[in-house]
Amino acid sequence: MRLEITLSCRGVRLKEGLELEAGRGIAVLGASRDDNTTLLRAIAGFEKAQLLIDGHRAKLPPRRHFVLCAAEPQLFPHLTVEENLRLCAAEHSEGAWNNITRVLELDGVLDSLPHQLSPLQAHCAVLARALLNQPRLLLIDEPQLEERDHARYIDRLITLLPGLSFPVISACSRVDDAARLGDHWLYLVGGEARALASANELLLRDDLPLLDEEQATFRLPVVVAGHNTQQRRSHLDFRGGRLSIPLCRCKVGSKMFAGVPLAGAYFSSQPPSPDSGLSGITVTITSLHPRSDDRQLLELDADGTTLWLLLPRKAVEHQGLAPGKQGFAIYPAAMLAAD
Amino acid sequence: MDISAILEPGLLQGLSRSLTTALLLLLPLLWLAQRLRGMVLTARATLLALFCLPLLLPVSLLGGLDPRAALAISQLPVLLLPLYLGLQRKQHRGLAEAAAGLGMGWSQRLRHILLPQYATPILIALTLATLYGLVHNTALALPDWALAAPLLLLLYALIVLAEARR
Repeated sequence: MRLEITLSCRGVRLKEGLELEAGRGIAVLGASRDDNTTLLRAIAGFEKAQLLIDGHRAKLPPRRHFVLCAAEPQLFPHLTVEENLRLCAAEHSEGAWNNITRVLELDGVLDSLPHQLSPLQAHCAVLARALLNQPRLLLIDEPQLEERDHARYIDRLITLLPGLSFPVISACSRVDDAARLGDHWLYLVGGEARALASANELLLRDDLPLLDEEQATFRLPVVVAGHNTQQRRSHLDFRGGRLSIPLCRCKVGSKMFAGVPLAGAYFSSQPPSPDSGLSGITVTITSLHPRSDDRQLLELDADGTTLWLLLPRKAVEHQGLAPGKQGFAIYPAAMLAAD
Repeated sequence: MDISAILEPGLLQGLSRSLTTALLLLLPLLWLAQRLRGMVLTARATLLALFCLPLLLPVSLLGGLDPRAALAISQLPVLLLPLYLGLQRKQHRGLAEAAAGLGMGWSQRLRHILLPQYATPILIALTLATLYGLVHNTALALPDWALAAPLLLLLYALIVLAEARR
């Protein structure tokens, strides 16, 4: 599906074409939540905008069938969670119902009323309702949740995204969230689209303010290799190495992506100790990209897979890092990400 | 014995009108009351506080009250209704948009938004106003304008629903 959107509303000015594929995500990344929300609402049909869907003018919202999960959960307050979920559910198998309610941890609250739910449960219920509705396009605004609940919500969402038969556009105000929710980012700065590119391509853009912050993250295609329930860790394999992440629910063998934050990552000539919890990947430096903030982006090769490090210029000089040098890229954290 | 002869002129007519209206309103209200179960506690408390305010006033004071003042108090629930609905507008709009996005038809939207979110508080307000008129014997239960107000509110509700189609 191709969306062509022309929008000039509430400080957001945009003229962009988006190519959408089933089961794949596009992240709308902007520091202003309001701008992100306005864009999603315009696509959903709740703000004035000119929208072409596959070259045809968009219909009114009920016939457009784009479901928006708003920043504040909107559940029908007089219906139980199960009634809310079944209200507009498309025909689906019992397996799909069980999978969605299990992953979103709604099994125990199906008989509850919306006001009895925690904020996380309410957002999960709205998401479940949207998924069961099987829309043409799912729009997910950034939920207003505490940080811990927010991370849980994203984890659950990512677990469900690979099997979807429709595309997803998610709004994010943080780069690490965007890296987990979509391979392509629509980058908004001051209400204007500054870039539409893959997450890793955008790392090289020195003019995008959010990427200079501690949230810079790159994406990597991985396969879920196994789970260690005792250590509560899961392992993700890619050509060139293995990453360790907090225990996830994905099936072993699932093809996913990993979001790897650059904050705290470093280059070492020695591998990390096995019990350190750090992921150490054998790499060769292929190129250095100087950045305006006195840091350098190191492009690394790990048996054909491209990895990245973002280091202060002084650290690069001190370690004598240059193209061709071999060593270990040490990543303290990694997260599961959707396609 | 002619009962009407010992009653004040117009009182029997007023009582009859109040009873009929109350019955007409209470029957659907019994069904709609269960729709209230989903209201958030704070919203429910606000609703009760707003609509029951006139009933909480001391009856002794009202006994000697001017009929026009009694009438004004009896209409307080209806007058406060727009305030209540205004406070709830953000939620109503969100639900209307959710319904539109989910592809809900008009019948579903009427059933799941209009009735529980609008009709229930409107009917509660009307019933309280009627009961107040009945209890305090004002014989002025529901003037025509008081009936017009909820109709205007229903129109407003339809506009909110229609906004989501923009």
